[in-house]
Amino acid sequence: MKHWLNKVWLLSKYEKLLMIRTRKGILLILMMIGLGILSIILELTGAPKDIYKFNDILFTAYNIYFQFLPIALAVILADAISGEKERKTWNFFMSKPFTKMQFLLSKFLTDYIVVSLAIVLMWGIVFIIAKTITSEMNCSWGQFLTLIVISEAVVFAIVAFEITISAVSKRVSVAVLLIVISWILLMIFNMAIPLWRGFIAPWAVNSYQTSVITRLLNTGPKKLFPFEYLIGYPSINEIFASIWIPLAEGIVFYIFAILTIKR
Amino acid sequence: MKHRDIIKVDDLSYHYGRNLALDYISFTVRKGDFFCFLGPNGAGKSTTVKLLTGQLKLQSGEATVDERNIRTENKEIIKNIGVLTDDMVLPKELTVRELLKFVSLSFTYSNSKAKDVSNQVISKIGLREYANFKIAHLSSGLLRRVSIGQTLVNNSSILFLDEPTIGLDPVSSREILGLIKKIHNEGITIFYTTHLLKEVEQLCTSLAVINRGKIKLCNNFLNLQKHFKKKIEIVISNKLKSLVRVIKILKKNGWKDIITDRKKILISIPSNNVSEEAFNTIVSILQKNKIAFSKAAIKQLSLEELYHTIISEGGINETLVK
Repeated sequence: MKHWLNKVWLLSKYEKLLMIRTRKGILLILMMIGLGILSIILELTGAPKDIYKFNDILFTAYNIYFQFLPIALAVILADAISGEKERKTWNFFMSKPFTKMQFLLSKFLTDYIVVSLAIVLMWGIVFIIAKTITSEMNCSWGQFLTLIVISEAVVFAIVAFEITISAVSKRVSVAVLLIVISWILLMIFNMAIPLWRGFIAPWAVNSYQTSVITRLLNTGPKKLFPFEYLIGYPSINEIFASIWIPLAEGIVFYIFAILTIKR
Repeated sequence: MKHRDIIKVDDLSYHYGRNLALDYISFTVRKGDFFCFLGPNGAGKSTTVKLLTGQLKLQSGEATVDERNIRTENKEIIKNIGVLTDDMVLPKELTVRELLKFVSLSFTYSNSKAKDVSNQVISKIGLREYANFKIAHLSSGLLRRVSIGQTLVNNSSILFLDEPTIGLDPVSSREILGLIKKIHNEGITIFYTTHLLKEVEQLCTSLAVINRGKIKLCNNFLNLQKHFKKKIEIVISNKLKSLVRVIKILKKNGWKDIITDRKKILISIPSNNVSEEAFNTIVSILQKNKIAFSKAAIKQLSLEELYHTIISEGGINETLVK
């Protein structure tokens, strides 16, 4: 087991080095922060308002940001495995005593760490901008931290989803296209499949996570489809569910990737 | 001392979709051999290497590498071999030293051992002054040295080298061949695929020729070399019908080593015979049996001619296949 984990660590170190030397990591962080700022600008330049509230800005930032995050991340995450295959470095790694599970896990962990770091930075910047504009903070630190944790869980599912698509594709361009197509399909399924409505695409507007965040920040639409029946401040169980559902989805994506990827 | 078989391939076949890449091939490689796997492009050389090194999943047949079954002991095989395939690219962002250390660590060496091993390999492949160069900044020849170096890290007993000189200039190619020869002299078995006959003549101790997924020839190189000696070439006028008759007559008269293709017959001259005498004897046999022939001559057969005879339709005499 120790050797097994050491190899995951070794591959993660390689991935980290790759992120640094190709400047992929820093560009990813800059892109995600830029997207965060853009989502605030879209809110501020949208419908004219006399007074902006702190929690309104947080909610809109979350909503716009996570709608398009899978597409923005596709530019970089589509390359994770399909890029190695296209560059033929995949054959080099597979000729060494690594398993595809180790390889996938190392890619997933490294990319997730970088993306989650970018998310924390993005929320930090959104926080500063919202505070500067409104000069108030009408939500508690606990609510703000819960928002970050739910965001991290949603990002976990997004990273796993995109790395899975990358793992089953042989070319980066195909992986990008497949991510976009799957993103559209998941958004449709998220609204159309009975019983599963709101649980398939955790990044969508009509997701369980958005419903919890709306009620957590006491902002946004009062009744959000398909969770019109959920009203009032979310319970601890609801908050936990909004965290573990995307985590479980991410794990399902990861298992699917291991089962389908070829050496 | 008789060497044991280090690679045994038995009835191996492989399909890419509907296309048959390997057609039930069988051969063996002895420990310590420099085994050349010769064949034109698309013959099935790389597919064989990928199957033996666990990069492709076995579809049918059996094979063992160093007494380990490739179907069940794939992971163990990967730990004990060195592989360089033609479609393998090294990560360009790493330096030579980093890459070799990375490979050493993948074989679960400790950090200090990995450092020692990578330094040893750097010296062996003669890249001390380039050790801190990024892979992306190396020339093709130096890059190929690193590719070979990464196969040496785990002290493997077999190296699979799939066309390692392809795309290199003559000087670099010569240097790479020298390096491979040096590695072989240390007792490592080399499984070398190529379509370059010059390399075969220079390096191999045993060889197999593959074409369109079928093994056309498998032989010890020394045994095969007798076919490089003088031959008597006869071109028969009435082609096929006469060809079969001629072979029968010649075999009846004690001429056994005969290679044929559609138009001509090539008869090996045994080393105890003088070529002119052998030539006169064969011509008189043909005349006696009233067989018309348009050409009869003594010919020096090169490996290239032998190879073309093997690759061309009509194939070779069965005596050449082990």
